[in-house]
Amino acid sequence: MRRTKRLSLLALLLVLALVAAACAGEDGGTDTEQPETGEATGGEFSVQICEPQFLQPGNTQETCGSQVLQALFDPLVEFDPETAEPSNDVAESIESEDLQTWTVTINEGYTWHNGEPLIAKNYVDAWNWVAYGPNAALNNYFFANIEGYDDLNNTVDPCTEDKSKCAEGETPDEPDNEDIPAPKAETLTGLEVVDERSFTVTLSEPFSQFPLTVGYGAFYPLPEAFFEDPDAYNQAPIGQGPYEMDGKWKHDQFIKVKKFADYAGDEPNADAIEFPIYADINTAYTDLLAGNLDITDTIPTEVLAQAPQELGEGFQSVPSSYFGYIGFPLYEEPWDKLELRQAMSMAMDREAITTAIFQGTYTPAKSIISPVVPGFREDACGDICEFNPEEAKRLWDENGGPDEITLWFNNDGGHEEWIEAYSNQVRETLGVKVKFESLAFTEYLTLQDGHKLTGPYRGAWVFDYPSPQNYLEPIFSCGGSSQEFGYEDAGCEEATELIEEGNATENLDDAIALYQQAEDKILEDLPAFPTWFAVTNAGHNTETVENVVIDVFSFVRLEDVRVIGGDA
Amino acid sequence: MGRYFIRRVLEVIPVFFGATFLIFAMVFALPGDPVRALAGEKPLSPSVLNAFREEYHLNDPLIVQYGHYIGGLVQGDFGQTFQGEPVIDIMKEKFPITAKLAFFAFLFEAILGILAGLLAGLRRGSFVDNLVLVSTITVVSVPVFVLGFLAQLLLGAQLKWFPIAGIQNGTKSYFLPAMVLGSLSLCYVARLLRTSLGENLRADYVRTATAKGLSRLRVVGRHTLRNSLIPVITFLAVDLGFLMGGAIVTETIFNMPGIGREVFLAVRGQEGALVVGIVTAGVLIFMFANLLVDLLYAVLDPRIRL
Repeated sequence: MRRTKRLSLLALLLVLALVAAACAGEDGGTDTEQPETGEATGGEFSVQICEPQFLQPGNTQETCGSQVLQALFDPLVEFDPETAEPSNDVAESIESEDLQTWTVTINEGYTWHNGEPLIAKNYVDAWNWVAYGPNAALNNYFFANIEGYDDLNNTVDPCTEDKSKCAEGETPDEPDNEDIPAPKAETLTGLEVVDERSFTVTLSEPFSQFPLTVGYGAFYPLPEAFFEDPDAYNQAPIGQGPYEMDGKWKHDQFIKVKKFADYAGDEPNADAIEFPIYADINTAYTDLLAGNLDITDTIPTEVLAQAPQELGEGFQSVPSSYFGYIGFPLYEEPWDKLELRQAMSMAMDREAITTAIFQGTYTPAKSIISPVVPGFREDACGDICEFNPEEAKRLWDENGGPDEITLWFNNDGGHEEWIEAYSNQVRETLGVKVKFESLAFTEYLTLQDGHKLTGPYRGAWVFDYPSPQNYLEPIFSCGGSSQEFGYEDAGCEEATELIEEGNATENLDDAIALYQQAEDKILEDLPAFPTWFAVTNAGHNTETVENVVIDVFSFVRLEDVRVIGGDA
Repeated sequence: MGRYFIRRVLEVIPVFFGATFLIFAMVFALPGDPVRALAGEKPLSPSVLNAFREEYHLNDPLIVQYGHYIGGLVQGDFGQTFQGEPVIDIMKEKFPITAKLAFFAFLFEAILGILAGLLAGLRRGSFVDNLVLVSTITVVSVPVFVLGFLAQLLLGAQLKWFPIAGIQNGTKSYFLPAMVLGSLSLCYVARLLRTSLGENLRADYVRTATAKGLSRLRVVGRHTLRNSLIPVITFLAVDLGFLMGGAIVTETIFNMPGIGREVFLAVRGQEGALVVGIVTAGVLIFMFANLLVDLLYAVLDPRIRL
């Protein structure tokens, strides 16, 4: 008896203590927010990332891996964080007389983290490796405009891939790997080493924007060590940038980098950077508030309303290159009808959605070319992108709009809220029933590629390099690598010609004028309508770091960050 | 006993093949193209798509793919992910983390759960009994992610008693997630034991024991508790199996790179080899945990013969 009594008393005390502790925590919160003194030794800071897919230039295309590679590599061309104005970085010069054959010369003094000097051959080898189909590098398509690309990439008959692409009377072969012969060549004919410091790039067609494209991560060079064992390289990449790996990539935990002593460029501020890997951005945000994390470049939508107050000066909302749109399956009735597409666009109240759902941080889009690149016009779209319920309803009814439509989107990217808002607007404006097809991303993309969607769908684009061309050619040109609207059947030729003309124009202003004409034409045909341009909502701990600059690529400018109390 | 043991171990073999094939078929049946998804919203060259499909036999029919997989398996090769990482390495790295988390969660729920159940069961209707009742109902009805965030904010961000996320602070990092992970089962254990104790305390043999003049401690400890623990042990063993399978929500919230999160991401990315490897390992662990319980029964209750 006595024993149990004592035990119950103990349990009671424990519970009371817990409750008391919890309560005390609530009002004592503000004074305990002191930076941990152990953190600031010699200027180290931490930046939140997610688990990268790959850590090698040929394969890294998502943002988390790219952010780490920015510490490890130095690009040929860099961009001003605010204006996106290009300037040579590793490149001493990138020149061409005919916009087709470009000579790239690299600066002297660059070395790899393993001590080998950086030479022109490192670029040529790297680009050849990525462009060679059987290497299965995700960034392969970036080299498609270099002469000789086709000989490195054998493809299956499109008919075998997808029955809808078969010519009349043709029956698809069973997919069979043995039928794909090895590519004819292993190196691009368009790449040639001139000497230690320069090489030439011959494109299949003139392209004025070429110097901008090589600022992208796919165009980083690769050291000899990579080719010996790409998988091992992936765990601890060797670069030629301001920071080198400090230990291996600890999957799902962290990646650490430290200052590279022999870096040829401007010395970075901090001595070391840690990239803790978070599975959930909410956790990262809590860690930021608790003082365990210095910088995050993603703030969860759920806390967007309170973030400016909680982070104070540490909250930043910076324009990003993200362009959102609603695309149409032009191959599917009734979406081949222009007027119905226009009605769908006019039925969207962009302001209402950006204010209510994105807390006013996103900008309603009335053009395709984003404000972060030259050539942006605020209202390229005109009336078609204005909310106009009467006109939308009139167009819809006069052109036999259906009673029921299906909106397609992927359910793993936080799109439910605004899709639902938009569907309500469509329902009210056009008086139609709206159904949803919400799919996993894998399935969504496959159906999109295979032209299997039956209604308007969500899409988005983030640029690879700051050129208006990058918003047009990949997504809207006839053979565009990401053009899935079926624009071929709706007159993509005219816009494509204008883009190509722009590509072949040397003078930037003239090229931009042509790109804008192409943009006008696309908005006239409306295979997709613009929804909004997004921002990067970032946060940092003002007590530990300063000078946190987020560029238009949504990346933290790592070399600029200053650690408060660090010795840098 | 020996024969029983061997029979149970032999049962593992058909379950192993059944489980691997079923899981393999399910991953195979998932719609969408995993290679295409690797590139996200960016385009992918057809030649790259082909190279991937060829390397991972994605163009082959299900049975051929399964054959490749099992063929590799008998040679000790668990396959690799699309990123070129061997599956075995991932399992070696992730299972210990989940096991450690499971261990602490198990300790937490077993010790506190049995203690709370004992107190409540012995003094029915008392204040302590009601306290246990109310608090367990509260915990059971709150979703685990709410518990997780609350614990992070109060014990992590404000009081700074525990690290919030990751495993970089050693064993200390495991306490908070283990508490959240174990809290739900703690409630079940407490209530299960309370009920079971209540029944057994009224049993004839307990009355006899008391009548014989045995001390309360001996009556409860020797005669009642041992019997009452049987359902609790059953529950705990099954729960240990679940815990070892990884906890997706808790691991995600607390940023623990465990097996639960890994399998979730693997399913989403349709990484067949990885899913099959992890889930099969999970199945095996579960089976052995159950076997262990069945053996334990005999220890607890001499009337049970195997």
